[in-house]
Amino acid sequence: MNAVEHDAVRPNAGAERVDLSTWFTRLCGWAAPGLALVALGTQAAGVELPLAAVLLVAALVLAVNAWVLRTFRGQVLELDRLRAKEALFARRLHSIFSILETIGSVRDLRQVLETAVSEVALVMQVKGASVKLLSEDGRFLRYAAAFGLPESMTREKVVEVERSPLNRRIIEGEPYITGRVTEPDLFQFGETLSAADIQSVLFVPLHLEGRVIGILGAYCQKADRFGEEEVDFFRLTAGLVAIALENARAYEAVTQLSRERTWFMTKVAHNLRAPLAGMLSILEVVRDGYLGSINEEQAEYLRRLDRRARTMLTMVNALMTLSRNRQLREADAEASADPAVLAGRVQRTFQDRAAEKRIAFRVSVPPGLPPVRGRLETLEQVLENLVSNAVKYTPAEGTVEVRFAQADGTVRIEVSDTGIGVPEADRTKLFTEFFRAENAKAVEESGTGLGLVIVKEILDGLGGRIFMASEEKVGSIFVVHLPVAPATRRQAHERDQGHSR
Amino acid sequence: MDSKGFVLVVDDDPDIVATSRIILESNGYEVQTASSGKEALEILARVKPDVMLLDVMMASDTEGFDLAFKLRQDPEFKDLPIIMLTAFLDKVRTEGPGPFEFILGEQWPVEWLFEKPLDTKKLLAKIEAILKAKQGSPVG
Repeated sequence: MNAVEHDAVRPNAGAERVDLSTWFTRLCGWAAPGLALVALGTQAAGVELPLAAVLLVAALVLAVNAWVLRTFRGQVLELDRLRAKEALFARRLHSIFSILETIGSVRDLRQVLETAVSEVALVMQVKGASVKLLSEDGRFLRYAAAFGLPESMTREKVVEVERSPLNRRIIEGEPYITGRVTEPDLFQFGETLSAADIQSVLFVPLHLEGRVIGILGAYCQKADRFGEEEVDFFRLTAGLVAIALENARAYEAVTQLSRERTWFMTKVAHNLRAPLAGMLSILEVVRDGYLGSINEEQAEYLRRLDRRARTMLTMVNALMTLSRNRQLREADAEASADPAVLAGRVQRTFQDRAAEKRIAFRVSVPPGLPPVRGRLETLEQVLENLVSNAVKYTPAEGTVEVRFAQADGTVRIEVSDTGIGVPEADRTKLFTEFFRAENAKAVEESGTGLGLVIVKEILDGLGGRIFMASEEKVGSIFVVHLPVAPATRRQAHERDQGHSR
Repeated sequence: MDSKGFVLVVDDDPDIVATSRIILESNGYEVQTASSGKEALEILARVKPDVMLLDVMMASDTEGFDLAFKLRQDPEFKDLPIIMLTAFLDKVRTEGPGPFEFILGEQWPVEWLFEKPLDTKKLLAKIEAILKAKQGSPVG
C-alpha cells in the first residue's frame, strides 16, 4: 500500500516550480529598476563612473532576465503540465498491462476478485475499491470483494436492487460519480462512506456481452477526486475486470464438469468390473474342483469362459485409461519418476511370465539416469503394454530385452524382442484403436487392440516419442523417448522420494 | 477339527461372498459373512474374527472405508487385520476423485488392498502370513 504513495504523480510538482519562477520573476522585476536607481543615484552623488556603469549594466541584465522569464513563463508552465500528463498516461498504460497480466494469470475466481480490487485501487491511486456482483435473477447485489474498505461496510452486505435507485441507475448503465458523499441521493450510504473517511466515489457497471454482471467501485479520501477522464479510464479498467471474472467462472465450470465426468467414468468402471470379478471367482471355484470334480471337456469350456471374461476386464481397464480426462493428464505431466525404479518394477512384473514361456528376459539400466517427466504408475503402464506385447508375441526360447539409456534431453527405453514381428502393411495401423494384426491374432486370440493407443496417448501428454522397427518372423524394436523432468520438479521429486507406497 | 482361524467376509456381492466362503472353508478356515457395514458391526458385537476381508464399495461408495475407520478408532478392533477388496484398484490408489481423495494421504485405515478378481493363491498366502504373525506376537 506504500506502492500507492511511491507511484503517485505529485500533481503539485509543476505548481511548485511555477511558484518559484513567479518569485524569481518578481525579484528580477523589482531588482532591475532598484539597481538602476542606485546607479543613477551614485552618478548624481559623484561616485566614480566605472562603478556606476557596472551597476547600470547589472540592472540591464536583470531587466532582460525578468522580461524573458515573463514572456516564456507561459510555455514553461505548459511544458511542465504536458510532462506530468505524459507521465500519468505512461503509468496508467503500465498499470493496465499489470492488471491484465495479474488477472489473466489467475484462474481461481476468489483470487481474481481479490486481485482485481487491489489492482484497481493501485491503478486509480485511491484508498479503496470494490466489486459487487449481481445475482442470477438480477435482484440482488452483494460485495464479492473489497479492498481498503472497513469490513463492517462490506461484509455479507446484500443490496436489493429494487430498493436502491442509486444502484439501479448504475446497473442500467450510468456511471455514478460524486465528489462529496454527503449529497442527498446517497442516503444512508453516504453516512457509511463518511464514517469510513471516504469523500469521493465512482461506480461503473461491469459489462459482459451486453449484460451487466455487477458494479466496480473506487473510493477516495479526497473530495472531488474523479473527473471526466478518470471515468473513461475506470470504464476501461472495468471492462478488463469483467473479462477476468468471466474467464474464472468459465474455468470453474469446466473444472466442475471435468470432476463430474471423472466420477461418472469411475462408477461405470466399477459397475463393469464388479460383475466380471464375480464371474471369475465363480469360474475359479468350479474349475478348481471345489464343488466336485469336473471332466476334461467341462474344464476346457470353463477355461474358454475364463479367458473371455478376462479379456473383457482388460478391455474395461484399457477404456478407462483412455478416458482419463485432460486434467489428470496435465497433473501427470507435472510429476516426475525415477527410471531405475521403473526398470525394477518392469523386471519384477514380467520375469515370472517370461520364465514360464522360457523366454530370456533382461532389463538393463545404467546408474545415474535423471528423473523423467510423468507419474511412475503412468510410465509403468507404457512399459507394461510394450513388454507384455513383446512377451506375448515371442515364441519359446526367444529373447525380450529392455534397455534404458541416456539421450539428449531424454531417457531412451528400448524394448526389443525376437518375436513374430509386425507385417509391413500393418505398421501404419498399429497405433489405431482396436487394431490387431492378423499374425498377432493367430498367436493370441484375446487382445484389446488398445495397448499401443494407450502408449501413444500417454506419451503425447508427456511430450515423449515412440519409434518402431520390425521384421516379420525376426522381431521388433520399440523405442520410447521420455523427456527429462525439468530441474525444479526434480528437486520436488527428490524431496518426495522419502515416501513411496 | 480345529479351524486355522476365523475370517469375517464383508461384501455386498453375493457371488463374492459365496465363493470366498467355499474357498476359505475348504482351506480350513471358519467363515462368517456380512453384506453391509451394519451387518458386520452386528457380528463384531458378538465375536472377534482373526482376519476381516472388507469390500470397499458396497451400498454407498465409501461404506468399506467408513467401517474401517470406525473400527480403527475402537480400541477393541484397532489391531484387527483388515484386508480390503476392490474392483477398482488403480482408481483408488492413484486418482480418487471425491470420496476417495482422503485415501491418497497417509491415513490408510488398512495395510492391505487386494484387487478383484481375487488372486486366490495370494490371498490365502496373505491370510496365513497374517495369522502366523499374530500368533508370534503377544496378544494385548
